[in-house]
Amino acid sequence: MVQFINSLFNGISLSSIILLTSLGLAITFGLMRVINMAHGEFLMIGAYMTYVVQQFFIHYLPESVGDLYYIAAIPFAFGVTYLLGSLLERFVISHLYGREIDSLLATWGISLILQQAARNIFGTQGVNVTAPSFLNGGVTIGKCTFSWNRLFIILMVAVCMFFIWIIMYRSNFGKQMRAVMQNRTMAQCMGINSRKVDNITFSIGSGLAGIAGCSVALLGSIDSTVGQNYIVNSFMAVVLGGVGKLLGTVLGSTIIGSASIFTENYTSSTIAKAIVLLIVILFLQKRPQGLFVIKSRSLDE
Amino acid sequence: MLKVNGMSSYYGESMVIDDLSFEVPKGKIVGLIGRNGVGKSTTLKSIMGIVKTPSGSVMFDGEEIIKKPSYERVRLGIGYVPQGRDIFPQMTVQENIELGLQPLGGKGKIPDYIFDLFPILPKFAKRKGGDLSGGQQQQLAIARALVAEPKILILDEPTEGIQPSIIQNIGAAIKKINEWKGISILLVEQYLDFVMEHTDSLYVMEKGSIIYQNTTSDADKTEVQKLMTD
Repeated sequence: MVQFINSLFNGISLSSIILLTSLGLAITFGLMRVINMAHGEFLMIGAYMTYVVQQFFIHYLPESVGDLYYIAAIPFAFGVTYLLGSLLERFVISHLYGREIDSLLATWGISLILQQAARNIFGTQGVNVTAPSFLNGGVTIGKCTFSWNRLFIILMVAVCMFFIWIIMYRSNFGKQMRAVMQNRTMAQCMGINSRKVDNITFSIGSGLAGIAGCSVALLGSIDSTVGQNYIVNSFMAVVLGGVGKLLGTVLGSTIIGSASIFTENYTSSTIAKAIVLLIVILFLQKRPQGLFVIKSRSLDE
Repeated sequence: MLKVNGMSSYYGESMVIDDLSFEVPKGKIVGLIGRNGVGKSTTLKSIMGIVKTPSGSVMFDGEEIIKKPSYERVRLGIGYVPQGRDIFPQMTVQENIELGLQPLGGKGKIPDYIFDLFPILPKFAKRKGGDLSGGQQQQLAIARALVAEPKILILDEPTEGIQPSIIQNIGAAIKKINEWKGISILLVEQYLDFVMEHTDSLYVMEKGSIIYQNTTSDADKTEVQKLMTD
């Protein structure tokens, strides 16, 4: 029982990280039909930015505020990945709209470049971030211990989800974004600058991956391949959930996250990956469109 | 108000319109008619900037707009109601109408007269746009195009696939829009009676060119009919 609850807890925290990365993927795919292979590298950049901010605090600021580095790292990581995402969209992806295979290859190339850049800057050895002291330890209920850093990650993802929901369904920008998603040409004829909507959406997606990087930094050492470890799961979550609905992405991530943790408990992590992949393959045989579909012109084509 | 001069348009790689010229004077209702596939919708899409127009000129309110992106053209005061309506299916009627405010930056108030024109719309406010009937969607699409108070309204076959009683409503609405607000209207149609009844002047199109033009009062219906069937 204790092991079950612990697995469930770890499953939820892994799911929430996957959710943060798959949201960006799902939105960009739903909006622009672009599969961004470099998305995982934004997670990596976010993680390295956490490290950079920590180093900055250690070297330049008094020790008393040292713990605050993590609070500063979150907006910093978001900002850096948001900007890089914006540049990537502007200079690479926007030239490849409607050419899905080409954009796949181009973004894969970018992903390799970013990984090598990370190795050049930070070395091939992984770097470590020390969790701030207020995240050490955990709460113990009965025989189960819930560590603060995982609880913090879950909370952070919940806050991000809330903001995304506000942006998508309560802001003018969200209205524009949904209009472009449903019918790009007509959205333009309603006076919406769809190029700008694409760019901001892509940047927000990248920024979310950056925040996911911050949370990953709490869980283990950071190296140039850290993005790859998470992005595969995120791709599967997006495929499983179906495109175009937030709920699909949430469910897809939860299933993938929990399934990996549970199978990992009873087998090894390599077997767990294989089993999760197998589940996804079997599921897609029955329902190639994923868990949720929205009927809309742009997706029917 | 709107002046098209020597415009050519491409759909993908094939040229649909070559050297087209016509004009919509301020405050007038102009009909553009012709058979299927002669390039009427493409003409409207060219004016909106959603097909390629490598040469020619489109002057709107004294300004050259042929190089401008669609969203800027709309902000200058063009309201567009496409063929097939293109209502956003996953959004409510209310949200669809509010999208009409986008040319003004998403802020502002929806003019009251729109609900005088189409009193059914507030009743459906909470429904999904995709769940409405064709006639209701048509009324919604016209309302949506009017929200930002355009100077010209461009309508692509507003009577297509719509039952006769609703066609009467839409015809009356077009007249009122023109009379109440002085909005110029460019109306593409295949339904000749509708055009004869509601326009000030008309153009007949064939194979991407204008083959006939006249004021509606002087136009001979049988002659126009003959041009459209030959």
